[in-house]
Amino acid sequence: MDAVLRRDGTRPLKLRGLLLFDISRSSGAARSRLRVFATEDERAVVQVIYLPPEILPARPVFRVASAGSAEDVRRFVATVGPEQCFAACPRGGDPVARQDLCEQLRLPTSLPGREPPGVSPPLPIEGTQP
Amino acid sequence: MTPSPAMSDAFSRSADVPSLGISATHRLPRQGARPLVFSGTQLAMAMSFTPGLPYWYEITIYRTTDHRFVLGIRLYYVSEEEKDTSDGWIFDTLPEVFDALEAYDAGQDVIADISTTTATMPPVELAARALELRARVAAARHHFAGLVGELFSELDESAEAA
Repeated sequence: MDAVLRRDGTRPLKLRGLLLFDISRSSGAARSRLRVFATEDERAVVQVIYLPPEILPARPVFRVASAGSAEDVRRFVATVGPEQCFAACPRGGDPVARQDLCEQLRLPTSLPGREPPGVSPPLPIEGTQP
Repeated sequence: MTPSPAMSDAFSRSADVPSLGISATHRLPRQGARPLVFSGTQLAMAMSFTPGLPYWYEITIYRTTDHRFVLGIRLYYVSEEEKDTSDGWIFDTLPEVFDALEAYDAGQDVIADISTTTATMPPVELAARALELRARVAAARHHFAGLVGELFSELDESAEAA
């Protein structure tokens, strides 16, 4: 399949490959999604999406990274948590409501079954903050 | 974000926003320079207004009548006590506009409200101010990066649909 992955701060990543995992969470109008692709050139590409509800002082998050192993995926998902939605306004909103939302949208850091194909060394994370 | 069909003939949603795609004279205030005045069409616009956030960005791309491209970045504050800002740049090609968007550092938009009292501040308070400033810079960069990603994504989807 061809996929176009939106990512913060830069142009979308276009790839051709196989979708290995597609995991979603939701809480009301909020959504989160984890996708892992195996590309034709034997890379693994991970996309993490968080879509907060519009009533909160939060911004959507779209991050993409290349991964060399399941551990790379786990580390990336753990690094890019739903708290990133509130990075544009660290003190905004009710902290309890924020925490509840984050827990409901948090994506699993362990993937079931097979591991994505490896690359060595892992490519740098794209779409992250400078 | 609403692109128009004028951009590489690839965007087909101008009917949604009648002002897009219509040639007009635009005046874009700039920081430290004379306003950028040009005739052309608005190709795309994205804005990041979010309830509860103290400011939002508006990114606009124009094509001039002499076939160049203008990038406008405006920063609006919810508080009337803050002064909105605007800046603009002109480029020969659209990829140059995209490169400039990717390279734009929203951290420079953060106002470092450091007064002369810092000269007598204890080191701990100075450090706290520095940490706060760093957090605000990171927040601005995060905010702007999300909007840039949204703009690129919408442009790409429109181009694919055309």
